[in-house]
Amino acid sequence: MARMTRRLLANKTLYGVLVIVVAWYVLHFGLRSAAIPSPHETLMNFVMILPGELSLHLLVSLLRITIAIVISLIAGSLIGLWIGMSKKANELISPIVYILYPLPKIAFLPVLMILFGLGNTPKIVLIITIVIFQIIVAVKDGVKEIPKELFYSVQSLGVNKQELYRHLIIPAVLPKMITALRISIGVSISVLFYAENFATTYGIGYFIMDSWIKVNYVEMFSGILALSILGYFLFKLIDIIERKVCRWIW
Amino acid sequence: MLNQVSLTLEKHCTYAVIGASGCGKTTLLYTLAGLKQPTSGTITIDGQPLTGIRQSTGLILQDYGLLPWKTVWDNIAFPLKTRGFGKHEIVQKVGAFLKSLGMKNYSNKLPGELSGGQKQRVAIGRTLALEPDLLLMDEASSALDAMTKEHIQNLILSIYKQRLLTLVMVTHNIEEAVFLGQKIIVMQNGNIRHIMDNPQFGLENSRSSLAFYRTCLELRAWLE
Repeated sequence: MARMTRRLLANKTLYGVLVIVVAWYVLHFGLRSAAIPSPHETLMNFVMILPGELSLHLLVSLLRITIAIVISLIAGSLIGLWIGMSKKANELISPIVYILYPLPKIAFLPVLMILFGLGNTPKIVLIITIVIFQIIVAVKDGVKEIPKELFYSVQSLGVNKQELYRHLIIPAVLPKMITALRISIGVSISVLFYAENFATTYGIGYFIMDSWIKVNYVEMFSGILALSILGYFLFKLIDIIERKVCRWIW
Repeated sequence: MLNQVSLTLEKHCTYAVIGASGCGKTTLLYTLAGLKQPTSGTITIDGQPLTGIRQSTGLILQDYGLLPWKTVWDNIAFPLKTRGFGKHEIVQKVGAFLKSLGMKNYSNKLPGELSGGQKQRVAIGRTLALEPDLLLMDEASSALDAMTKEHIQNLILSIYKQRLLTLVMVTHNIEEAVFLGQKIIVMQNGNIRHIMDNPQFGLENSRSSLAFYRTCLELRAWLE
């Protein structure tokens, strides 16, 4: 028994899944509400609808998140590096960033829908307006945290500005960038879920709310399961990227 | 930080700059490195006025010298790459330096996996691979334990003897100054208080002679 427990704890993913499934069963049997179907029922439904309808919704959501994150990452890093490196840019841009950062951008979805129409664009733009600030602030802080001495010692080797970015600044901010990305994934999924409740018939957010309206709780939970699995895989993907590009922090 | 310092350094000579914290010794070194510009006056090296970072000046700092994300090999190789050395030449050069510094088996290690002394060896190797004629060091051995400190000091002395470069090192360690400085510059409040000629420099086993400690005492008197 002791050995089994140890083995279970060693496999962190399995351990996590097991605890959550047990808690799910407790809620299912404890509350006896139709709103919480049992895990096995949900899983069976999930496996059944995944190849058809569900994967299409999942794919649309994944596409929206990926586009939004890639754009935020590129634009946010550039702005973050710029205000981190230039005193003038810092004075000009930072005050604006600090006011905009905590604003509830999600409330602007109606405005975005008026400006960008009813398609994918307002949903992607909404995620960008939320995620980009986390990237900007993380990258800017990353630049500020590079020790002055490290700058001096690399500069004294006679490298030019481009090489300074390549060998010193970008690797130094990478871990911060990845941490920001990890936080952003969770935020993007929640924001997307909200945005997909409007003006679309595709996406996992739409699928969940649509199942709810149809009072099909099993299907609704399949959708939640799909969204959770998507989030988990994106999270793991970032772990893998981090291990690959930030080998020195492991 | 510095107040009207006027200083002429002779070629192929070693200088130890010593003084209490905040006396301006590091500022002096950074100014010589071209990292800080003097508010007035000029610096001339080899007849050329210094306007920025000079290609053949090497700088070694107490810490933070190596890039944590590059292996030992890459840390030494990347400045060579940026200076346009050929691939074959880089492999040869880096290999030779690692071997002479006794770091051959560590070429794939990251700086985080090395001891303080090993890190400093790699930093020294990286700077020497660029073949500087002026080598500047800021507390290069301060972070090391007593034995490793002596090893690094011996290494610096043997490098100087082999290459006859001009060496300026900032230290707050009296024995290090006497061991490595042909001339010892004593600084106080942003000024040069005294420049001491050091007869102990470069002598065989100097650390175990009484005369060495007499010179240390003499220097100590100048610092008080």
